[in-house]
Amino acid sequence: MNESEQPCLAVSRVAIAGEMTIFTARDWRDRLLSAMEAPGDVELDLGMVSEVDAAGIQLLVSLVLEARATDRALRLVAVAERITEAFEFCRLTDFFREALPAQA
Amino acid sequence: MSTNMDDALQTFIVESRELLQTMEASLLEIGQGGDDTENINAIFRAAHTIKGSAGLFSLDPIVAFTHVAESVLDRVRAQRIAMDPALARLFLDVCDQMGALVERVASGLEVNGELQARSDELARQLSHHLEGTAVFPVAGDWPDGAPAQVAPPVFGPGCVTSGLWHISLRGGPDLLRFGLDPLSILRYLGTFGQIVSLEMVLAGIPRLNQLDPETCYMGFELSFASKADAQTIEDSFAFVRDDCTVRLIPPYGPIADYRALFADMPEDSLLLGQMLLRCGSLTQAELAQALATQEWLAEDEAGQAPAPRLGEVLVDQQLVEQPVIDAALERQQQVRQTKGAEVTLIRVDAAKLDQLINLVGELIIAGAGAQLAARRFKAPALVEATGVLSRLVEDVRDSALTLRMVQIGATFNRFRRVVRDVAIELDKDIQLDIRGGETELDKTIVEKIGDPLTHIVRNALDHGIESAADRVARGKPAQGRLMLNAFHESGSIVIEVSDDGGGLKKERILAKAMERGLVAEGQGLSDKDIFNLVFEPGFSTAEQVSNLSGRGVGMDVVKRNIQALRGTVDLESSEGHGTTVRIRLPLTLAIIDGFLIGAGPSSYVVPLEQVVECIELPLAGQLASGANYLNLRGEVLPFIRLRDLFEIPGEPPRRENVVVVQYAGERAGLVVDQLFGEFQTVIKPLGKVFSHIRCIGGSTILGSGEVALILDVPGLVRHVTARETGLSRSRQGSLAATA
Repeated sequence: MNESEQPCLAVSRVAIAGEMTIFTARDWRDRLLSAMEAPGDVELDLGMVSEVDAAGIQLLVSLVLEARATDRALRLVAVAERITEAFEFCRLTDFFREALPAQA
Repeated sequence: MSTNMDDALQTFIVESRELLQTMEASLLEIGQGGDDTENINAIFRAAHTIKGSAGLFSLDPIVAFTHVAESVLDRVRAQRIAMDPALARLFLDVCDQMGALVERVASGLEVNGELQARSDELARQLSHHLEGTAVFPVAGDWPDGAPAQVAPPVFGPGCVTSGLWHISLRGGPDLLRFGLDPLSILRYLGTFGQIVSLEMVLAGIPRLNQLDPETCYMGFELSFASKADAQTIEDSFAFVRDDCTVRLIPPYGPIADYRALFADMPEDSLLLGQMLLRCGSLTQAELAQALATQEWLAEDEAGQAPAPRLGEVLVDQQLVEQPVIDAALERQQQVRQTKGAEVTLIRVDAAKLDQLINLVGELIIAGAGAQLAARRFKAPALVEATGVLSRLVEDVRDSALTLRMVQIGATFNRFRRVVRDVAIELDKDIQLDIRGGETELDKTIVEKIGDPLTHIVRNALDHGIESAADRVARGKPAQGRLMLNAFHESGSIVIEVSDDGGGLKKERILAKAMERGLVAEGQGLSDKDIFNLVFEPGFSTAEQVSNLSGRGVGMDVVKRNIQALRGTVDLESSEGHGTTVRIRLPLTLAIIDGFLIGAGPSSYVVPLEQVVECIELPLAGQLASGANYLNLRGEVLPFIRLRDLFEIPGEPPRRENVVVVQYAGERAGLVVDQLFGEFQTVIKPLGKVFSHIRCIGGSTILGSGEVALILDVPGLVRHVTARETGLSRSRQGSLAATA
């Protein structure tokens, strides 16, 4: 897994690559939290996620809730097939479409 | 992890084999006048368990195939279709196919095209039985969110109209931490039904800065279309039962269940209610009803209601709680039962048992040594101590040996299928009768007796029992009978295969034997000798060679296999009435109770079970000179002197003893110098060099470290009686005259 944060024009981008499961949930949560603590919008790149489980989904939901609570804008840059599948299975596609609009 | 999985897979394979055996046995029982409901349930359980376990290992070919079979069985269980002979036959094929698929897994191979084609063909045949009535469709062909065409509802007042299961799942905090993924469990549900709608309960999830990413805050509400029973669905959650709350409400379930759900779940009832509405599990009216009663209850519990209503509430509460209590009790019961089963049965590697028995053998030898030494020192305390010790060792030996003992019933039951299949192939009507299935014998012997027994059974079916027309013409019942019987007799187990067929034709056997040069013309043979000729190599009397037996190989191989187990086989037949093949086998191969005897400086052991009695040899003057027989209470007892047999030099003592031994109904006397008494004998096989020596079955080591030979009583008896048989008849007359 690797990640990159590019603070430019008050936009931070977090790219999640590799597993997004119970084994890596703590790491990703810390990354995401530090991105959320920085000012400005947050762009989320989920294009390189290779695997996602319930812990991963829970983390994303929690991220959305965090953004709502702090009134921050979240944008989705890319999304991997695995993530789309999991969203569909959990019937969360609409929820995330609303909360994580794809970047225009 | 991977070794654990391998172990689990091995267990799956072993259990599947056992289940398939049960399934086959139950299939064969069907229509035999027993309780078919129980049989059908047993068949269903077997298929169901195999499918469930196969699912855990992602063995999709097995899951897919068994699923179809299970669907049909479910209908049989629901009495929508009958388990007629044709369907039972189809299921026997299905059972075989499942076996083939499991064996494929056991050999570590993928399912190949041929096997898959067979699966598909059988599934197609099975699916004919699924047409017509529309129950819950199989996963995949459920139209989108359409629970409408479900079988006519059987709900009463107070039940919901939804024909779907409602499953409510709340993850416990540690669920994820234990490596359990609720999503994969829900996906597993998809293998036997369809998740029609799913609502994820997100209300418990905190925002990121308060989130422990390894704690589970999620829940799921889903409506599920499946024809599986509650047990199957519940079993899907078996792994997570301890770490989360699962609630299962059956199709057309009582509103009370939903009310309880609202009461138990931490979420706001209205929010949860909306979810259930979206799931389609509740209608608006039902929701209102469930919520109303709940509020009413809440009000009541707060103690604001007038007294009479409290009683009603308690009754109502009881109504709510009773099924919950029942379910909880039932679950506890199940846990207890599983635990009970685990305690009563342990799988042990056979090699470990062999090692144990070897050690017990050494212990016995060492114990005998200690006892001998104690006697030599004449220390009473020591003698007593070793006496107690040897008694305990004896007990240990007995229980170690019983560990290896299994009932022969399982082996016998395999023949139900053989008899059925062969009978169909030969177009004969044959009834199999099994007796003495509870008779126990050593596992090694049970394993090795299967093949010879199969051969004998096939012979009996093919050549023994005549066709129905012939039978009727001979005034016998049209249905032939084959009997398998087992019992214990003087330290050996006897297995009988009898048929009520045509019997062996003496003349034809004799003619054939002469033709082959096995018997010289004019040689006087008893009936028994003639019948036993069929065990000679290359001997077959069948006029017609069928594809089952009769190629002239077999009976000699049968005899060889049985002899290799220290057993014997003989045959009794009466022309026109049937044939009985009798196999005698030792109970165990390792340790026996022996009787120690001495001749000159050497010691010998005779298996105690074969010793009938010991008598003193009449003085030389009372015996006919040079005679090898004596008068035992009016019967002729041929005897042999061990001194002569083993050419032991020196003079015999003044008083000699006779040990009367018996085998297969024949008696003989062994003349020995001394009787030492009972002796626990650990059989050590003789090396190959000595394999040609007759009358000796093995050796053992005495406590003193000396070697004693174990006499092969069957061999000895044969040797003695064969020598005497020709003459005994005439002697009997003269003896009777003198006595």
